[in-house]
Amino acid sequence: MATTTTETKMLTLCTSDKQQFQIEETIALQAVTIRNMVEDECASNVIPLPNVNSKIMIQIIEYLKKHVDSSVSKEDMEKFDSAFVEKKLSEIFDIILAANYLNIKNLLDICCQRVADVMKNKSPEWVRRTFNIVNDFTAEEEAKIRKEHEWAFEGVDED
Amino acid sequence: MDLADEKQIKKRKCKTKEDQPTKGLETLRQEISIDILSRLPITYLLQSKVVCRAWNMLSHDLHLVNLHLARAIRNNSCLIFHSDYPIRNQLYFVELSDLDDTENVRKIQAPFSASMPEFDVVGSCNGLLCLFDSLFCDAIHIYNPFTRDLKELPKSFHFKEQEVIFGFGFHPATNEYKVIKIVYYNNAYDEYNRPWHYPKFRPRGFRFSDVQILSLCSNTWRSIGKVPYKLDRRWLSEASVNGRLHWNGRILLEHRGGNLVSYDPESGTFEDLMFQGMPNVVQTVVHVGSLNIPTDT
Repeated sequence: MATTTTETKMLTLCTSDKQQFQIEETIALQAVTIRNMVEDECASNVIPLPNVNSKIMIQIIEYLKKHVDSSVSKEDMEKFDSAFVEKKLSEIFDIILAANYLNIKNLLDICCQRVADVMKNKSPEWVRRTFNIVNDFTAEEEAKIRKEHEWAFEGVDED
Repeated sequence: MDLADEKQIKKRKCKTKEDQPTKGLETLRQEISIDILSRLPITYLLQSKVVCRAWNMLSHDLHLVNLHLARAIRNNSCLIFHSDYPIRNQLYFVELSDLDDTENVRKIQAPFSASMPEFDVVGSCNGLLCLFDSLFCDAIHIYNPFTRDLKELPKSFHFKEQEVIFGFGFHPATNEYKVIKIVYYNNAYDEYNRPWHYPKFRPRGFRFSDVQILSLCSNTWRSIGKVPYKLDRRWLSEASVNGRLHWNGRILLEHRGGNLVSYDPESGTFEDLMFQGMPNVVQTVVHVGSLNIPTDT
């Protein structure tokens, strides 16, 4: 008695903190890394994702679920994307790392754009503070570069 | 540079295990830092050079230069204004942001302002400007106003009586920047054998032509024969705006005399465009702010 049920195939993803997520295969396969694993059949029942924690995974699944839906209009998708990246930078960085590892190009794209948008108009001091970068220039060296590109520094917000 | 680029690609191919995500850009791999920086307008990219040594080094990274250029061509255009007032020629620029025309026009401190007080802008291509010394009609310079890199091209043959038209462009198939020089001239022999060799009676116009090409790779001029067209320098404004730039839904046009007008296709109206600190403009050039440098290797 074979009834033709279109059974949705599920995949189980296991994050770094050993949480398991059951999601539809079509959703998960948007991540090229997962697709390669499935195609190479190196993934058994559970796909281990040691570089992604569950907190980030939840957000990534939210993103993938939206993007697999072909009925969403282009404008709505853009709206969703711009709302999606309205997060703290530290969170965006974590998503970038995960998107890079999972190889989800669009997601990486919108997150990198978000960081770039925040950086615009910010002073180098702000960038150092926000990104934990130590200024390893001597005062003279820094002054020299600033002098070379003096006009580029016009109209920069101090903070 | 190439080697570093190769390493970069290799690194990407073999998926190394990353450190656990933490809170800073320094934990992002270099390719992601490059991705982010490549999205910044040129002025912010220059500012980021003072953040730390690593970022200063990145501004010379070929991968960043090319990625930034590719994005900048699509997104961030800027306009270069060429002014000849008060005495010396001067370049200015304004970055076109998405929605406002309140941007300030900024002066470009050119390293050649003393040696080349008067010049023409031949063209702009991939972030490089091609300048022509209009006082001593022989020197051509390729110049990136943002990195301040300058390359003087070798001089070409100079006829006693000549009119010259230049063009500047990039050939993607061979990856070469090329300068084309079309010379219309009368030769000395010709002048001697004519009864009207006295300048007063000389007929207007030139009898001969010669087309010379210089590739930035070879850095030598090479003649490729004559040209069957009589091009008029006054009508060749390859470098200027003339509707090439669409900004904020409007089309930018250049007035005679260098002033800018924007045309709104929706309402069908024209509007004079004045940016703050706008100089007395003789020429407006659509340009892409890039870290590209004028060497072709």
